[in-house]
Formats: sequence, C-alpha cells, structure tokens
Amino acid sequence: MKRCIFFLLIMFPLVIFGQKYTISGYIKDKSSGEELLGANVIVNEGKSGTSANSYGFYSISLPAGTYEISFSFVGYAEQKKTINLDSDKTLNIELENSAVVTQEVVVSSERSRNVEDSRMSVTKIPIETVKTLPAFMGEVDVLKTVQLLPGVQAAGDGNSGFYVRGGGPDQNLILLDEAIIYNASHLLGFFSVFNADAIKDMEIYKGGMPAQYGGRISSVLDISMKNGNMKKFEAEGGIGTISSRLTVQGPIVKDKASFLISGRRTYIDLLIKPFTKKESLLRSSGYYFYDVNAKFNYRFSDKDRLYISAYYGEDVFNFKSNDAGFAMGIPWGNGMASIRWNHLFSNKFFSNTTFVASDYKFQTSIEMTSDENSGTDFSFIQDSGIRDFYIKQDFTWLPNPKHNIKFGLEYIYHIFSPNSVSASLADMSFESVTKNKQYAHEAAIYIGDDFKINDRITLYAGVRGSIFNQVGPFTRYIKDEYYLQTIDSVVYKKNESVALYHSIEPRVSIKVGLDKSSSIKASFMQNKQYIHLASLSASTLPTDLWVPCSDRLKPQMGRQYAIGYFRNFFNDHFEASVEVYYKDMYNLIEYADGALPGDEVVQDNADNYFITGDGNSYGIEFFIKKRTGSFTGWIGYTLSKTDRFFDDVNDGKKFPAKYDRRHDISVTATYTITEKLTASAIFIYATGNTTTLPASRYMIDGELTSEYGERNSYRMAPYHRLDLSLTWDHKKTDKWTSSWNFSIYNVYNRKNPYFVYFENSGTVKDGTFKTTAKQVSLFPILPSVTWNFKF
Amino acid sequence: MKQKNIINILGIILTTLMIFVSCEKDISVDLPRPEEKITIEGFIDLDDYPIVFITKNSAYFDEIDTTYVENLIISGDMATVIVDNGSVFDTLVHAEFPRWPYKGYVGTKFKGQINGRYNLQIKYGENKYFSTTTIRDTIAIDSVWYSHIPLRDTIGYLSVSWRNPPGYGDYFTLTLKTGAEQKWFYRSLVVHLIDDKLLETNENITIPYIMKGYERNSYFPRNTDTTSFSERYLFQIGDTVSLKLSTIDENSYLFWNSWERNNMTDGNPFTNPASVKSNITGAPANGYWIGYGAYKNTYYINDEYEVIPLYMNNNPFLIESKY
Repeated sequence: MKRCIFFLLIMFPLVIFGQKYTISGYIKDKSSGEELLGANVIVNEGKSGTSANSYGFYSISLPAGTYEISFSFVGYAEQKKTINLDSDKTLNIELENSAVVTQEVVVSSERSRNVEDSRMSVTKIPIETVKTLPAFMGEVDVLKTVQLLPGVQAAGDGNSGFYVRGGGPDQNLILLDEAIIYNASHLLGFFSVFNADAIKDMEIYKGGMPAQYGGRISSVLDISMKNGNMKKFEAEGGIGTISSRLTVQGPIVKDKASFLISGRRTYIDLLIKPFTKKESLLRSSGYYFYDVNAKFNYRFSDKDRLYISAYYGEDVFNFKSNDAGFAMGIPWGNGMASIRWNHLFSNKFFSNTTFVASDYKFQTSIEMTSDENSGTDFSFIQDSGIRDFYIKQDFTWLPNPKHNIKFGLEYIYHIFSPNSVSASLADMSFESVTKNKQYAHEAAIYIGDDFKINDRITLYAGVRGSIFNQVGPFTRYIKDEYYLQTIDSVVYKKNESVALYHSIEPRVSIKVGLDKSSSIKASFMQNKQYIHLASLSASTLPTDLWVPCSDRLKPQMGRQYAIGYFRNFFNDHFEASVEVYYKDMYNLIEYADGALPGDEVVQDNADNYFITGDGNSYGIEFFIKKRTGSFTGWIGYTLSKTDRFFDDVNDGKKFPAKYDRRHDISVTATYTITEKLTASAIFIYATGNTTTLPASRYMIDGELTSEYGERNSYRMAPYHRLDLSLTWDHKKTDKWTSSWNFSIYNVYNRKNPYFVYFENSGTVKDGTFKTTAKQVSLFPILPSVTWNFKF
Repeated sequence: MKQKNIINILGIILTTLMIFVSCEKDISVDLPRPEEKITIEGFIDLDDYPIVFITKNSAYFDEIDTTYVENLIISGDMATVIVDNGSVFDTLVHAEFPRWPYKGYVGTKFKGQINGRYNLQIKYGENKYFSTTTIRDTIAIDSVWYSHIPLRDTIGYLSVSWRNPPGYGDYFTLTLKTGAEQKWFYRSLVVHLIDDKLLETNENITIPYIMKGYERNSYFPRNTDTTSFSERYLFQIGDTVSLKLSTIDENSYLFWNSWERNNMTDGNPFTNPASVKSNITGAPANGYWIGYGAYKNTYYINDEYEVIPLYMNNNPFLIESKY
C-alpha cells in the first residue's frame, strides 16, 4: 500500500499555476496530409516544449501571453508561428517536406530526442533512413535496419528473429498499427513482413519501456503504417530481381478520408516455370511469399478520427512429385486487422480506442497417392498457430507542460493451437487426433507520467498491472517422472481456470541534464511475459511454437537496469551515447534434449517437452551518429555477455546463450554525391554464434553414437559482411520520379557460418576413415537491381 | 515417423534454398581431446547366459584404420567381468560372436530367469563399473502375417501383434533373424523399441511394418551395392524368420529410448541432440546392462503368403502368455 501511495505522490504532484490556456492540434505533412509522429513543438527557443504523439497530435498548456512556437520534424522545413494565447486554441500545422533541408532544422528537431528526452534506450528510425541503406535482393528492410543499432542483434543469415540485450526473439513486442505481429519475417528471416512503402516510421525500445507497453520482457518495436495521402492520388513501386511491389494511395474525400493499399510478391517460382520441363519437380514445386497492407482513415471532425488497418502476408512452399505420388504444401503467415478511433475529449485529453484481431498460422499438409486413378491414399495436416482478439483503451492527459500522463487498459483473448494433427489413410480418417487448444485471457491496466521536474530533471514513473488466466476447455496430460509416458490426465471444463498469474510492473526512468548538450539517464523496468516461443533450433524458424503460460509453465519475467551518458557534439551535428545495462530473466524455456516437434500431438501437451531456467545479460553499448551534411551515418558497438542457467542442461552449470555475442559492431554510411546520386554502405561484425558439437563417439550395437560436449561450448566463426548501394534518381519531375538502385550484398563474399555439420568419408579398411566438419553458409555475394517509381 | 516430419520438411525447404544460394566449406574444429571412456554392452536373455561386450570411445575427428578399430576392443584378460544373480557369482569368459565387436565375454554358471535380478561388475584398469537389471515376464506373440508392398505382389513386410498387459509402463524390444545365414537377432530396419504409451490397457499392440534385421557395423559396413533394397530388407516366399520379442524394464527402456533419440537427432543442426542415458554407474562409461524377457519363435512364409509358426509346440524358449 505504501508503495502505491509513493507512486501516486511522484506521479501527481501537479503544480497549480495561474490562468493557463492550451494550444493543440495535429502536425502533418503538407503534401500528403500524413501525420508526423513525434514532431517537435518548441516554445520560445526551448523554454518549453512537447512532441506530437503517435497519432500526430500535440497539446501544450501555457500561461496567457505571446509565444513564438516552432514546429519541426526530421526532413521537413521548420515552421515558426507567433501566437497570442488569450484563450484555448487549435492550431493544425502542415510542414513542408524539404528536399534540401537546412542543417539547422534537422539539428533543432532531433536534439531533444537524444539529450533531452527522459526516455533512454529508444531509437526512432524514419522510413527514409531505411530506404537509403543498401537493399537485400532489391528489398529494403525495416528489421534489418533495426538490427544495426547497438544492443540489437541479428542472429545471422537465415534467422528471422532479432535479439535485444540478450533476450530471445519472442521477447520483442512487434506492433504494426497497434496489432501484435507474431512472425515478422518471410523466407526464414531473409525478408521482414514489413513492406517499406507502406510504413511511415518505427521506434524501438531496448529498455526503459513505458507502462503503456507490456507483455514482453525485452523490447518494443512500434511500427506505424502510412495513413494514405489526403491530398492527391499517388502510386509508387519497384521492380526488382526477385520481387516487385506496388503501393497506391489517395484521398477518398479530400482532407477527410484516404486509403492506402500496398502489395508485394516474390516471383522466382513463376520465372522458373517456363524454363522447366513439364515433368520437372521445379515446375510443380516452388516457394513464394506475398503480403498486402491496406489502410483507410476517415476524419469525422477535428475531434474524431477513425483508422482501419489490415495486413495479410503468407509464405507458401509447395513440393509435388507426380511420379512419387507425393505432394506437400507448407503455408505460413500472419494476418491482422485493427480499428482505431481517436477522440479528443478536450484539447488536453486525447483518447484512442483500438480493436484488433490477429492471427498467425503454420501448416503442413502432405498427400500421398499410390495410383493416379484412385483418390488420395494418405493425407496429413499439421497445424499450429495463435489467434488474438484485442481491445485497448489509451488516454493521454496533458494537464500542463510539465506532465504528460498516459493511462489505459487492455484486454486480449488468446487462442493458441500448439501442434494439432489430422490424418486420413485410405477410407479411414483420424480426424483431429488431438486438438488441444489453449484459451487464455490477458488483461492489463497502466498509468505513467513523464514529469518535467525542472529544466534539468525529467522523471518518468509508471506502473502496469497485468493478469493472465488460462481457461478450459483443456486437457492436461500428466507424464511419468521421465516425461516419457502419459500416465494420467486432468480435464478442465469450458471457462474453468487452469492457471492464473498476475504481476505489478514498475517502470522508472530519469534524465538529468548536465548542460545544453549532454545528459545522464537511468532506467529500470520490470516486465512479465505470459507467452513463450519454443524454438527447437539455434535459428528462428516458422516452426517455432507459441505457447502460453499454463499450470506447468510460469510467465517469463525480466528486470533491466540501465544507465547512460548522452551527448551531442559540434553544434548538434553529431550525437553520441554510452549505455550500460544489466538484465535478469526468469522462467525461460527450451525444448528438452532430443525433443522433436510433433512429439506432443497425441495425448500430450506441448509444454510437457520444455525445460525452464533463468538467464542474465550485461553489456555496454556505444553509439555515435553524424546526422547532417552530405555524409551521414552511425557506428554502434556492443560489448556484452549473455548466459543461461537451466537445471537440466549442463548439469545446472551456466552456459552461454545461443546468441551470446561478445562483440557486435555495425557501421552505416550514406553519402550524397550529387543531387541525383547517393551511395551508402553497411558493415557488420559480430562474434560467432555458439553451438553444441560432439566431442567423442562410441559404438552401440554396431552404430556410431555421438557424445556431445557442453551446451553451446563451441563458437562458430565470426559473422562479418559489407553491403554497398548506389541510388540514381534519374528522373525527377513534379509528376514522375524514378530511380535505379544497385545493391551488392556481401561485397567481399564472406562465407558466414549458418551451421556446422559433419561428414564421414573413406573406409576403415583403407585406413582413410575420417570425419570432417563442414560449415554451411547461405549468401555469397549477391548483386541486385531495382527500379523504383513514383507518380 | 511423425517426429521426423517437420525436420524433413525443414530439410526440404532448406535444401531448396541452398540450391540457389548456399555453399559449404571444410573447417577445422578445435575441440579438446575427450577423456577415454569405455562402452559396455551387456545383456542377459531369459534362458540364456549373460553376454558382455566392452569397447572404448574415440575422438570425433581421429582418422581411423583397422588397427585403430582393433585397439578399441577390450577382450580376454584386459578386463574382469563378473555377473551375479544374488547368490552365484560368474566370472565371464572370452568368446567370439557374429556381431560387433565380435569379441566379448560370456557366462557359464547360470542362465536368466523370469523376475531374476542380475548385477554386473567390471574391472578395467583402475576403474570399476556397476549396473543392475531385471528380467520381466515374457509376452507371447499372438500373430504374424504378411502383406505385399503397394503395387508389388512378390515382396512384402511382416506385421506382428501381441496382447499388451494391463496398465502402462510396458516396454518391448523386437529383433529378428532371417534364414540360415543370420546367426544373431538383429534390430529390424525401422522398428526396435516399443512402448504402450498410446494404448488403452489390454489392447493389442500391432507393429505393421517389419522389415528384415541386419548386422550393423559403422566401421566395416556391409557392401550394399550388390543387393537391392527389397532383397535386403523385404520378405518373400520361402523366407524363414525368427522373431524375438523381449520385455525390458524401465531403465533399459530409458537407455534405448535416449539412444534412439540421439540417433535421430545426431548431426541435425536444428535441434538439441539428445544425450544417451546410460545405466552404468561407477567410473564414467557409456552403454547398458539389460535383462531381456525374451520370447522367441520361428516362422515360415509359404506359397500362399501365409506365415506359419514352425516350432509353436516344441519351441524350447516358449513360455505361455498369461494374457
């Protein structure tokens, strides 16, 4: 109780001022009407200020008087307005996208973020930055750009997940227009599901997560889709080596309603077909992915606005051999639809109501036919997935310039389908051998205040309370002590509680300004996560299984402490930071040794095959960025260590996590050679991933049997790579823009390790029998050309 | 089968991908030299003398020739192997066998009995190794039948069925010996270890696809080029097949289960390889000591593709099933 009062005391010391008036409105792009999220509002050269929220809305309350207010955003010309504030005012601002941005504009708009913002470990990446970096096979990638930040690691080629400060890929909350995306990648991680043409911007929190975010213990990646041009019709797209994309947007009712539709598809499968023989396997087999983003928004009035967003994407792998009478299809993908309603109760009180339905599924279907004339002899379908229905109410209250209070509540209804199987053999059908779905309610309530105590000190304090309840119908299969045989079962009826967890999650961060260009920040966060991703392999694959907490599986918990020094140099042309973090994680899961997916499909539960343990991670991150001039870019370096402790692994001794990285360096550079020519480069170096290798072998019943060494005791070769890109804007008129992008991935053809395997060769008789270790690498040097257009 | 599905699927996806983009190269892996450990393969069948094989482990990347393999085998005076049944202590003597490692130790004083408890102790150099096992009651095979493989009418596989005893926790191994040429009960191509996990009590256990057993020797593999798959593994008219269905205790099951898991996941970069659960204690060792409640019978496939039990009434090993 005392703790609660303490929180209330810090959060609501709302000082009473004299007569005050509020100025509020939306900040938008002049040409398209797109809201500019996080745009800066600075009063009287920095005496006071605020920034637009994630819907482009700003509000600031000031004592009566005359003010000069400047509105700015990266890449836009600053606008200054002189306002005589003698009553509450609404002022919508339209900033002009400036091709030749003066340095000062950029500087003043971004300074607040690095040094002045109370939040730490946060990076906002405008989509323009993503688009200037080298593309992979012609596709610029949102997730790949995020992985260039210190503290955020890629796991190497062929891995879809990203790892933030030693946390697993399931510990990242990935939001697209407020909807949770469970599988953020196509083609085993080679592309992200986010089509850059449909994305406005994104923000990643590596720590110091504000209370409005929860349900994950490592990070938040908050991605916003474009709303659609409110002023005019526009089409843009690109034709690339393996895929093409097209985005159309425009007003339905000018300045009132707009739409955006964007689609992508890869077409290697289609391109190959004409060149293959009719009976060739390649003709009937193939792989492709596609995705579609759509958005509609309608402005009822200055006070009410409706957004409808939808995303659907799928990867499809087909394999069909008529000779062998064998056909297989593996589709997997995400879909989501969200409806959001923004409402202004007053110019200080902003509300957003969100409804989301989201779905992720992975399916394998196999059909076998022995005789073309008869029907299917054997068919097999395996499904896994997760479906969420989600409702959220957020409020932002800006009582005065010193406070920015956010509070709200959310509720999610989850339906998890860990592997379920149905099969039929000739006339017999084993429909749904087990469909042991798991149903759960998850709810949270939060409040947080960003409190500007004085010119130097800003404190953010927040708290989030969450609750998770798995309910029936559910059957718990109880195993023997070795987890081999099912010996009993407990059946829960519909809505009967199976497991109940709750938690209080405090979040605090503080900024102390040292001078105009430097500050120290510290943060603490404690998070609970009620779902787990069971990953069988060292890489993240779509077969990884989402499972909820249950009577057997406790929620994951994370606690993170971070402190950092932030400084801008050379008149704010450079920004730099050093952050140190320490993170504890509890109740992490792994598959038990030797477990294979599909073990649990009959009279069993997926979580019977997991073991649990804890982990920790600590590290230091250096970041320096040059953000103005014809030469821009950044260098990030992370020195870190991540360990795991599992009773059932390595005899309970600590072992390095599979993505433990001692060193991680990324360098990005963009150089504007002429107005029409831009070159960019990325260089990455990372300590090799860990893996477990056999140490010795022996014979059992005449068969060689491997005895493995300690878990993750072997480290593969380091990962490093250089990518280059050149963009040529060869035609630019008011109506038509087109550009060519030439990219080279892995310029010096580094063979980065994907995995290591072993091959026996020779014979004992000849005295030549030996085992060789072989390292498989995925991507050699890969040049690509894309033609992009916009009209 | 089911366990392998997803792994196979991933394999196919990755293979397809790799056709386009991947490449591989040899690397040298610098691993510390493993400590020397012995591998014990010991068992006592119902109505048979105990048999023990002892071999040594090898470093993963050692180059291996005939002498190297010869040096892995421990036989004769190199070790002392003693088995007792609680009252009689039997020091096993050297003998030769038609399976890897061809040299081992065999008992002379007592044979395995139902519900017998047998202790093994081995002294090798300075180290001592211990284990205990039991022989469970036997279960008789109820029926054996033959089926053609689809679209072929001369070759096929056998199916075997027996009554599962009440309650869970019954474990079986099935091995077989074909014709006159095989002198040992070998594991079949696919099925070896069976449990009653998925069954209702008292239900029949049916193993539908049994192919021939064969001798394994990873160091000296049989030349497989001269015979076709069907000749090697499938049955046809005139084949004589001896089946051995053994009940085993839980410890023995844990060993075989973990070993099969290890075998299935070994070398697969997409899973955590299973470690094998040895039931040997004392100095560190790999391997097992298992009592088999063995039921054996021999069958003949006649011209009508009927499977005829040959020695049903005079099989010296036959013990009537209680179930």
